[in-house]
Amino acid sequence: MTLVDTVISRGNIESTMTNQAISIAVFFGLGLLFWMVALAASHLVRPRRPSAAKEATYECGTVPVGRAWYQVHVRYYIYALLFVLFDVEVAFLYPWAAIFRRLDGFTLFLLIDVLIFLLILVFGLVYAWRKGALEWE
Amino acid sequence: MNVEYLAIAKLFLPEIVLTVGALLLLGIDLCLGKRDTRRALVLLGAVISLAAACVALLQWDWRPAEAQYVRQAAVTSAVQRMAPAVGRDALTHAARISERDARAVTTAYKAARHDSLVESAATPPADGAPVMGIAPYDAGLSSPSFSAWWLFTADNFALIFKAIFALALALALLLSTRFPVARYRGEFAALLMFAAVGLMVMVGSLDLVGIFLGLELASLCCYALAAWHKQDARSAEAGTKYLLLGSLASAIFIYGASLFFVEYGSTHLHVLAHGAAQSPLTLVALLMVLVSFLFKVAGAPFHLWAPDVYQGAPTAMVAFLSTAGKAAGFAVLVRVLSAHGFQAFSEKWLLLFIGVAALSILIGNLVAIHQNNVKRLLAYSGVAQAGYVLIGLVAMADPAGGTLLNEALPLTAVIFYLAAYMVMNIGAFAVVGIVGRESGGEELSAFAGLRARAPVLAFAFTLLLLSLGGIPLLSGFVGKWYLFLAGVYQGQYLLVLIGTTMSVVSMYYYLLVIKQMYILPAADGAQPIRVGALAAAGLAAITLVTVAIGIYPGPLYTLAQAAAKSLMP
Repeated sequence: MTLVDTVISRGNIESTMTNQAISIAVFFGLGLLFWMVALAASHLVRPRRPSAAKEATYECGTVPVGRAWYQVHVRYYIYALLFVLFDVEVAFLYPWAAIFRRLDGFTLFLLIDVLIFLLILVFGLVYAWRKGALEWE
Repeated sequence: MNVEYLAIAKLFLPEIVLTVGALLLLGIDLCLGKRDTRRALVLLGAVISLAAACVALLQWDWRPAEAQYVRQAAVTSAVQRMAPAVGRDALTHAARISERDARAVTTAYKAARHDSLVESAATPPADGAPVMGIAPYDAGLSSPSFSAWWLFTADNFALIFKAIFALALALALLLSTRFPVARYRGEFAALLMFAAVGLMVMVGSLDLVGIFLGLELASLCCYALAAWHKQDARSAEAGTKYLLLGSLASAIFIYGASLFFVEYGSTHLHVLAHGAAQSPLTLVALLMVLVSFLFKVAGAPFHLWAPDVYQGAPTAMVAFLSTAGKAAGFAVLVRVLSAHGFQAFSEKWLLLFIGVAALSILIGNLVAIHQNNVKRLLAYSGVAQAGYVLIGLVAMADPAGGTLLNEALPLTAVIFYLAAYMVMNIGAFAVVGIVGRESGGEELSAFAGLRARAPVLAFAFTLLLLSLGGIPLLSGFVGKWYLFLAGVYQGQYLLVLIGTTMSVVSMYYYLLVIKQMYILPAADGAQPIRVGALAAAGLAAITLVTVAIGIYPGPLYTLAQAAAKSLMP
C-alpha cells in the first residue's frame, strides 16, 4: 500500500489533518523532483550552441527594448488597480455561486445581496471613467 | 420583506446611512463641473454624518442593565455552547457536527433576540450535544442571518463609539468645506465617510476577522487621505510612512488572529474567551493582537509614525484620525481584553500595558516640549493622551486573576475620556487648520499675535489647550480625574503619579502656544484671519461642549456608564 493510497483509503477523521499535510508534502516533493529530473535530462541531451539572439532576455517572442529598470507611467497603476478590483470581484463571486443553490428559500435575498455588491463596484468603475482615469491623455 | 434581513440591517444602521450617503455624495460629485466649489456637497456629508450619529443614539438600549445582561448571557451561552471542547483538535472534530446541532444553535440565537424567549435560550440544551468551535460557519448555511448575529453586535458599547465616530466625522467635514482644491472636495468627504464606516464595523464586530475587515476599510481610506496633497513632499512622506507601518501593524494583527485559529479553531471572541488557556501560543497571539492596536492608538514605543503623518496629512483628516481612529483602537482593545479568559492571565499582559502607558506619558509629554510645529506638538500630546487612557485599561484588569469588570469605573472612565478627547482635539486641529491655511504654515510663530488677528479663535484655542492639559472646569480635567481615580482604586499608584506629574509638565508646552497667541506680537504684515461661517459654528459648538462637560459631566458619564455596563457579562 503506497502512501497516497493510505491518504485516500483511511476514513479516520482524527488523522485527516496529518494526512493532508503528508499529501501536500508528497506533492511538493514530486514537484521538486520533476523540476530537477527535467532540467538534468535536458542538460544531458541537448546540444549547446550559444548565440547573441539566444542569450537575449525572453519576452514572449517580441524583441526586448531597453533595460528592465525604467520608470513605468503612473497610468499603468490605475489600470492595474482597476483590473485587480474586478479580478477580486470574480474571486468573491465563486463562493457565492457555490452556496447559492444550497440555501433554499433565501435565493432572492442572496441575489439582492450580490447585486448590491456588484452595483457598488460598477459605480466605482463609472466614477473612474467619468473622472477620466481610463483616458491615456 | 424578510424579517431576518431587517434584523440584520438593524445591526448596521449607522453604517448603512453613511455608506449610502457617501455613494450619494460621489454621485452628485460626478454630475458637478470641474469649477464648482462643492462646499454644499461637503456640508451635505456633515449632515449625513450627524444623521448617522442620531441613528446610533436612537438605537440605544435604554432598558436597565439587568435586562441587557439576560439577553447578553443568552447570546454568550449560545455561542459558547458551540465550543465547549475548544482546543487543538477542534478543527478535526468539525466533521462531526450534525445538522441537528447546527439548528439547535440557530434556534437559540433567534430566541436570544426575542426577550420573551430569553429564559429558554439561556438554559443549556437537555441532551447537551457538544458542538465544536467551527460550527457557526457550517450553521450559517442553514440561515443566512445566523452569520451576522455570530459576527456582529450593536450593544451600547458599540453604539456610543459609532456615535463618537459619526460626530467626529461631521466636525471634520465642517472643517474641510474650505479644503484647498475645490475639485476634490467631494472625494475627500466620501473617503472620510468610508473610513468612518470601517471604524464602525470594527467596534461592532465580535470576531477578529470582522475587526480586521473594518480595520482595513478604515486604513485604506486613511492611507489615501494622508497622501492627499500630491504636490507636497511632506504629504507624500506621510502617506508612504502610514501605508508601510500601518500595513505592518495589520499584518501582525492578522498573524496573531491566525495563531488563535490554530489554537481554538475559531477567531470569535466568545470562543477565545471561553477557552483561553495559559498556553504559550495564546499568549503570543494575544500579544500580537494587542501590539497591533497599541500601534493604531499611537502608544509609545509604537508611536513613531504619528508625528510625521500628522504633520504631512491634511488637517481635517488628522483631526478625524487622531480622535476617531484612536477611539476605535481603544474600543477594540477593550473588547478583546474584556473577554474572561484573557483576564485569567492578566498578570502577563498587564506588564506590557503598564510599560506602554508609562512610556507613552513620559515620551509624549517630554518630546512635545521641543516641537516647533503645532501639528507635531499635538501629535506628541496625543501620544501622552493615549498613555492616560491606557491607565484606564490597566485598571480594567484584575491582578488577582478573578472576573474583571465587576467595577464599571475604569471602562466608564475610558469611554468618557475618549468622547471628551474627541471634542477638544478636533477643536484644536480645527484652529490649527484655519490658522495654517491663512498664514501658510503650522509653525509656532504662525500663531504669534493671534489675539489681535483673530480674538475669538485665540480664545477658543486657549480653552481647548487648557482642556487638553487638564485644567478644572473643562472636559479634559473631568476625564483625567476619572481615569486617575480608576487607577488609584486598582492600586496603580506609580502609574497615576507619573500621569499627574506629567500633566503638569504638559501645561508647559500648551502654555507655550498660548504665550505665542497672547504675549508675542504678530509678525509684520500679518493679516487678520477670516473664519468661515460653518467652521466658526462648528468651533463654537466644540468649545461650548468642552466647557459644558467640564462643568456638568453627569449626562455624558451616565451614557458612558451604560455603555460600559453593556459589555459586562
